[in-house]
Amino acid sequence: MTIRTWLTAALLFAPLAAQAAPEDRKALFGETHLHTNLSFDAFIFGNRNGPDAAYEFAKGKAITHPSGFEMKMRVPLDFQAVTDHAMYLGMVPAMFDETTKVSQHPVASGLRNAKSASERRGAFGAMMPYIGQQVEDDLLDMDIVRSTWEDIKQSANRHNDPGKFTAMIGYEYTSSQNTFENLHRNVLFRGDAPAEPFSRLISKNPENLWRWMDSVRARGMDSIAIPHNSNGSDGYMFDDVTYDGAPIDKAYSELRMRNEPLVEISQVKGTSEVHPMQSPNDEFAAFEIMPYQIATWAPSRVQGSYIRDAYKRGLQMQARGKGNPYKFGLISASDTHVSAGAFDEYDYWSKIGLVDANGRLRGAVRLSWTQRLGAQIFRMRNWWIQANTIEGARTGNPPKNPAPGFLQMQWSSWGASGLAGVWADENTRGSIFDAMRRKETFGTSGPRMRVRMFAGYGLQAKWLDDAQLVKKAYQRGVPMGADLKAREGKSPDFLVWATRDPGSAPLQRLQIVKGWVDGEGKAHEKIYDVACAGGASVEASTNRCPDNNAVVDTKTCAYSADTGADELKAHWQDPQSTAGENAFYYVRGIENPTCRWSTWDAVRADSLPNPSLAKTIQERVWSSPIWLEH
Amino acid sequence: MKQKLGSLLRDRLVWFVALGLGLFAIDYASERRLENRILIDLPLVEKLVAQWEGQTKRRPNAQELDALVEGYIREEILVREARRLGLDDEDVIIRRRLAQKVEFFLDENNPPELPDKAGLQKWFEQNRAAYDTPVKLTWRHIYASDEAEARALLTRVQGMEAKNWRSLGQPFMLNRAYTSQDQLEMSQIMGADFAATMFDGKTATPANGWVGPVRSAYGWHLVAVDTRYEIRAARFEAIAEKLARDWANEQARVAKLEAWRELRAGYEIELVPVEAP
Repeated sequence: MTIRTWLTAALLFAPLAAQAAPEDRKALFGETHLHTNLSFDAFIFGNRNGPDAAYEFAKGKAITHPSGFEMKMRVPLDFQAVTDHAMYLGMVPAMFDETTKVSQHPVASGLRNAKSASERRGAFGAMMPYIGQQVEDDLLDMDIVRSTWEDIKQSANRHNDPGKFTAMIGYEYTSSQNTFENLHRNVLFRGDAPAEPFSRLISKNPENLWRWMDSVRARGMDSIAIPHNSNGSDGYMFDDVTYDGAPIDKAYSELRMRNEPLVEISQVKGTSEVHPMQSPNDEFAAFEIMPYQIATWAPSRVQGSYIRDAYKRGLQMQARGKGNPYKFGLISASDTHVSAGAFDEYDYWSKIGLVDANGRLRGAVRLSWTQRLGAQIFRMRNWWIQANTIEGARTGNPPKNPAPGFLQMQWSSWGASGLAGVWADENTRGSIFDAMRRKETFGTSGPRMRVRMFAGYGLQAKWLDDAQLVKKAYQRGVPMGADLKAREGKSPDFLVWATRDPGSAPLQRLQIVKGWVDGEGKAHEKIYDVACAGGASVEASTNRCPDNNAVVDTKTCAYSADTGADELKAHWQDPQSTAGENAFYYVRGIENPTCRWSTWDAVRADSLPNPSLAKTIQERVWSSPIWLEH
Repeated sequence: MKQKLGSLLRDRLVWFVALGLGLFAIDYASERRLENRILIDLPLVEKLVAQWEGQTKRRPNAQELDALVEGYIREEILVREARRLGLDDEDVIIRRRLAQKVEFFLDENNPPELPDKAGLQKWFEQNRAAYDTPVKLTWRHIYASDEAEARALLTRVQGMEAKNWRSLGQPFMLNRAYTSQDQLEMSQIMGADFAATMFDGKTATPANGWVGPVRSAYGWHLVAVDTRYEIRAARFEAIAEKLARDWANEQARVAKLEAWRELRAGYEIELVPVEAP
């Protein structure tokens, strides 16, 4: 090698090396959960946008919704992974292509010939027993699956532009307990991926997925799995026992945490942070609750379905020597099925294409008399199906419609969420993946809020106004997602900091949510407001900020612009840290109220909002926790 | 009765008609046979063998060759039967495929020829603006908690050694310095008003040093523009290759449109009126 080559190489790599200081990490926003027309359900919902279109959308280009309107992002994303369902990957497009063998199958012709929405649903229903492996599978053609997977990988490689836009390779492992108890997770690869994805058709037991990931990692292809919609898991996502019902042990905890460092806290099908029944003292717990098992009207058991409770269970298992299988960080994603995430309440298109394409179909806009009659017939027909078919018995019946005049649909409880945030050294596959492994991640309910948290001993309040805050905090403390080794007799310090989304409402408050396990093994939680908008101070008796009088006019959706904060930051010391008690701490930053998408739909259609739906929403951001370890 | 039949057989006209029908039947049958003949000749076999070789990288043995030919015969018969039954008429896939092939011809028939340098240069002159690089700024900022603090910081930063600017002001969650950023990128991060002020070419310039305060979506900032990259007019030589590519694409597009117009003009489209109810 000549000296010149060496010099060039040194010059090329010098800027990269210089960026490796943790204080230079940047908050990158992205999408880690997205379905294109290659997912069996998305194609049936009318989506014809492939992975290339999905990446173009992420980079800021407008693409078309199945019903014809344009979808475009307010601000382009920094990174994205296309995550189509691995089972039946690419099969439905092949069924619609009459040159393939599979298109001759009666299920395929049923799908192709479906004209109306209800025929579409019927044809979809005919396919479900195949995907649920309840009948002998003469549909699946693995050659189609493998070549589709290759196309997906190539599309990601085409769009990956290190430093500017990162396209990651991934897919969804769509598992469940017996039927609809959602155990779905997305598998994301650090770089390249193997020739065939591990799907539920191979095994529904997630432990086998993790073992496969271990083996693929040993071949040099690292990956992580991110579970989602624990809210619809009927308690199975964060259970006390394994998939087969065996007690959880240390080996299980290690296997799980090695492969699942993150969980999706919020997405279009609801938010899984906490259920108000579990945390009656959390005034902000009733947020975008989606109470059903996925694709059914069957209620999902609360216990074992929500994240805060899982964190507490994890600490309890750890105390019993079982390891902590629930020591995961947080992230959000959209789970859109139209190749384009809807993140803004005022520009919402939900996720299942033709099925929920407008305010009426989403139950947000009042129906006319004729539409009401049609809806009634549809409802009666559904009752009949539900009462007379096995499939129907499993999916259950809708409760009594609390808002006659509006369609009653599961997707009324869905929302314009969520967005992934990572603190990465650079915008590259490796840096983003490594940040996910470190759990230095956060999730939002849609807006581009940024949040930081550090914990340590001797972190000082005056650093908050120091331009070197982040550098000092990294030197003396640990960031979100990390463990803090407890020092006996001392209470840890926290520095928390959040900024608003310039395109959404200002911030109202910043909270620290703490959970811990006492000497008797009992779990507790407490929520502390730590910074209030408008310079107000936290009331000592309640640990809450005073009301900042932010209001929304639900007739126009205009909101207060004169109250609220552009950024909030605080130094906080745990007033209740007890020696020997392990704990977790995470930040929740809350915006002033704005209109929920359903109210926007109603305002635009000049309709009354659906009285059974929340009219306003307080968008929020959640950081990964820091765990205090003794 | 017997007599009647006998007289009929004696009638020449009947014989004539019967003979005619017979000839007609023979002719029909032989035509059918011709139509139902499948020719297997050497060029065809060579083609089948070449396809086989392409996939397997070896020549077929005798048995495999038989199977290839038999497979061809089977396909050919099924295709002919399908055509005879008119199955190709209403088939969406076949219609689409046929249409695609003609579209393909429209492209193929008009391969764009590269213009000479003068022609390309002329085209470049006409489309200049699309190739210019927009104004970009390399800039830094100091974030203050309010307007008053920002004013106070301005005197401090102007009086101190230039390299120490990072020690001033409040910490900022996003970057404190950005390299060659255009106005759209800046407004997406800092808000449109802030970006408009920064790009007005008067407030913040390299000559002005630290100026402000300027309001962003997050609060008040002192700003310094280190470099302002004015609109960089594209140079013909530097982008000649891209220009040639774009030019060719454009010519192809226009030619295809023209060819389509010609085709369309050859057809009369008749709208069938809907009767009023």
